[in-house]
Amino acid sequence: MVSLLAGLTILMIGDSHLATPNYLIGALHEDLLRQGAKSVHTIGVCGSTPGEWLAATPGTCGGAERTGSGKAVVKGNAAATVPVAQLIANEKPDLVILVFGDTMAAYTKPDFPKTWAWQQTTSLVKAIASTNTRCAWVGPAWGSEGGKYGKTYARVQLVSKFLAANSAPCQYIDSLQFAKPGQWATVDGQHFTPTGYKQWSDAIAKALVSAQTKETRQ
Amino acid sequence: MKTVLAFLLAACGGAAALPASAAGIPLYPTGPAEDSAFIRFVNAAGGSLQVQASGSNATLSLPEDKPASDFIPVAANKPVKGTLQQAGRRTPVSVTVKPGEFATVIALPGDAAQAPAVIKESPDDFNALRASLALYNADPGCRDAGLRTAGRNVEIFAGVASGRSARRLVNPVSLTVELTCAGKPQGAPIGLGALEAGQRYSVLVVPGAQGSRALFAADTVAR
Repeated sequence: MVSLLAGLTILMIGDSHLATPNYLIGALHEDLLRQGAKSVHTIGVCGSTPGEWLAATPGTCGGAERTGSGKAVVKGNAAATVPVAQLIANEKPDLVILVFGDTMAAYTKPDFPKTWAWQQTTSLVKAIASTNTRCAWVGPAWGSEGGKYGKTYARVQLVSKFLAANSAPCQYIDSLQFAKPGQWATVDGQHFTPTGYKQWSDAIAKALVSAQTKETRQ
Repeated sequence: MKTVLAFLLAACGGAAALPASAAGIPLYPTGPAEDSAFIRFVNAAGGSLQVQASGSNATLSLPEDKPASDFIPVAANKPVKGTLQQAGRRTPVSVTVKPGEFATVIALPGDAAQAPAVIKESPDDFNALRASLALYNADPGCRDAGLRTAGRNVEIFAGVASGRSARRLVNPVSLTVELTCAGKPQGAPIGLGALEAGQRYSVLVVPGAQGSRALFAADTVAR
């Protein structure tokens, strides 16, 4: 059976989960190619927020980039976002995948900064929607509570619910549905072990195929 | 937050200079130091209103036919000071906006002693699939402001006291509404046009020469 991702040109951008070779830039990028995507271009900038992809913004903690079947290139201090409008104009992707959530959660703050998050989310979604390009937003996964980022299950649920309500017309991929809290091992509460990233990647790829199927039927 | 981060990285021996794969992911902020805050100005005084920011030459002009400014991002918890100027009258204004808050400063008709109305809201209804509509009551003469669909009399808002606001999600459809004060219709129905999903709007009740009147504004955030 031919995957509905077959033949698509895919652009994937996001935060630290795409910024190290054995994170999603490894396993998910490969899953998309395995599903028959014509081309996949992934750029991850550690710590980046959605709004920082409207204008070139230097990263604060590294990044990586990967094109097609090549290896991920670690950017280190040279990591910077590229305006999404520029990426779309140059690459004309059929699908843009966004991976954001943990850099918006403010895990160590008592309140979720929803007004700021609304600005961040809508500004990026509008920039993509204005090009009539299909998009999918991959929300945060459970991870485990605590760690150096102070992640909590309650806050990640709140962020996921917020993104589900505010990422349209992008298709929202709810990563919390893929596993139970704490099920996938992490190295610091927020970033997974290579096995965890492989599990997350496979679940995202499956959900993307399912989402494309639904869209095709409509 | 970024200063703290820079200090932490420096204290770790310059971990930021290493590729992420070699050093693991360095600590980074998972959000802003504080939530965003916004202020907008509305000219309900008639004529042309100039808003002069204190300590700068920045001026905002609000003509009668475009009476509401965009929501302008401001630093939270710090007073935003300026002067409202209209027809030779100058009224000082100072507003402090909390994180997550949207403040609306409404210049009202009257002499220089007439203080502007300031109405603040901290919305929690962000939604890309529906439209968000608010009713702001800035008219002390309008008791229990309400809004209902014109012709069908379906209640959208009721009992909004002067100086207060109410907000709710509505379906993204074309809407014509009627303003009420204490249950009585005020003026002609107001066409809001086709409300768009994900967009935010407000109807402001302000004093007019013939009683309460309504202004309609899109709650656009300045970029």
